[in-house]
Amino acid sequence: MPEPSKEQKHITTMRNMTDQFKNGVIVSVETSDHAVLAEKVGALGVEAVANVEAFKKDIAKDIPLIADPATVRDILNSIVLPVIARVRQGHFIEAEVMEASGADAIDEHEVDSKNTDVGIAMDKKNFKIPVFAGAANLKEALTAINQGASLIRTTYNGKYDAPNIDKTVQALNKIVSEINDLAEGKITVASLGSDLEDLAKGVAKNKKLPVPLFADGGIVLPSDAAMMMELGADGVIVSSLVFYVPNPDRRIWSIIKAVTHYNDPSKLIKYVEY
Amino acid sequence: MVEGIRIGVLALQGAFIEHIHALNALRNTEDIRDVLEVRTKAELDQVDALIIPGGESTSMALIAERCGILEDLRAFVRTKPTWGTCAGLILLAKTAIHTKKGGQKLLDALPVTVSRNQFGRQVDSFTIRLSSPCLGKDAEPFNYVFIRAPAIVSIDDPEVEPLVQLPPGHGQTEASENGLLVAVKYRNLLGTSFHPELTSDNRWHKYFVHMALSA
Repeated sequence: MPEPSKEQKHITTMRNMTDQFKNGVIVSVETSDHAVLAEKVGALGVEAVANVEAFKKDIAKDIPLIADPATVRDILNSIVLPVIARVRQGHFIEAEVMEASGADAIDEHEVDSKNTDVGIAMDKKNFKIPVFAGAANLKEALTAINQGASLIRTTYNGKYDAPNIDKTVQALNKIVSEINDLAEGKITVASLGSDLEDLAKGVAKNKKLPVPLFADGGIVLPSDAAMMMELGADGVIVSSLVFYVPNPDRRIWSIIKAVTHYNDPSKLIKYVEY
Repeated sequence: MVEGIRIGVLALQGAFIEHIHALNALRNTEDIRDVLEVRTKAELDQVDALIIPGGESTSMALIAERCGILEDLRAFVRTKPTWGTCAGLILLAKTAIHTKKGGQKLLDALPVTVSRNQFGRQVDSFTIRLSSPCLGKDAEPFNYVFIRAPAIVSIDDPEVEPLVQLPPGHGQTEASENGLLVAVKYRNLLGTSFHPELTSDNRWHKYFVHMALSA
């Protein structure tokens, strides 16, 4: 069997890394205090995102909607868990800065885009760390994977301070049902585009993406997290708004338990407290 | 007497499905009666041997504790064949360093000191081919995959048997100058820092199945 190319080895290593995130909960955090709390209650990693309060106060008209690299370094120094840095879609310098700051992964996020125009998405293969990308359907997912994404999360189409769980469910259902349709031949490999043919063939055969699929967007309730797992997600990303509920530690912990025991309603009833 | 061994894979978090696939692939040739995902005491009671997979050990330990399965796991690993890979190795250990603030709960069974993230954050994940006599006298080299891996920095009991050692220079601390230990065996326990379930080479899974069958 031929030795895989350097590029193929790199892709495999990136996917092996994101594989370790499966069946767990990544919590979006704005500060190192949030990160420490998430680590304390059992999150498997955190995603550093913009400070919502600062955004709401409209401190600057061009507020970047991502975490300050200094905050990311602060978080890296506060916890041992993996830290994913969110960057704006297409903003490759931002991503290089986050990689250089020591982030464990990057999430290329459409947070300030009016749509998910994958034409402006960056080439994700050149990073030494995994890059996450968003998708609302199978074609977007495969396009992002073709560009080098090693984890797909549902696209976040809501306004930043009004996360929309309905959009999240919609995107997840769309991706999962299109994967099934492809496997059953109701969608053809050709219909996804010739540049995605190899990837699509793999998906049709294995009935899943070659990378983990995470639900993200408006998840702050344990029942929603469990539902995402039942609908076919490999894990969930919790909204940073969870830190604004009265008992964030108890809420995050309930979400984590809900994800572990999503297929056992008796356990959910016993363990889950809002 | 019912034949065959029942092997569980702890499914609290992480990449457990790959271990399930690897074990199922061996059912035609090995004496495996059942392969189960384990999340509860009831499920743990149904298995004769256990694999604790890779993932995030901090998260797994907390979930185990707060779901009330930690003590049951501690009792299980005292006597029953158990294999911890990566995060699972950390959990099995009696001592772990570079863990989160406040430390993390361990299963306290394997008398070694494990350093979490010995090779640094993601950027330093790597793969290396090494000859592995423990897998067989003339065995082909094995392709070892290390992802944010821990390493065994000290053996704390003479009965611990080192199985695989890295060449000197891989790793971030002085301990790595001699070559870090990445696989050990102790009584009923097998501990590995690497991820054999991420390759199609199933020799380590065979090794564990034979270890469990001869227990």
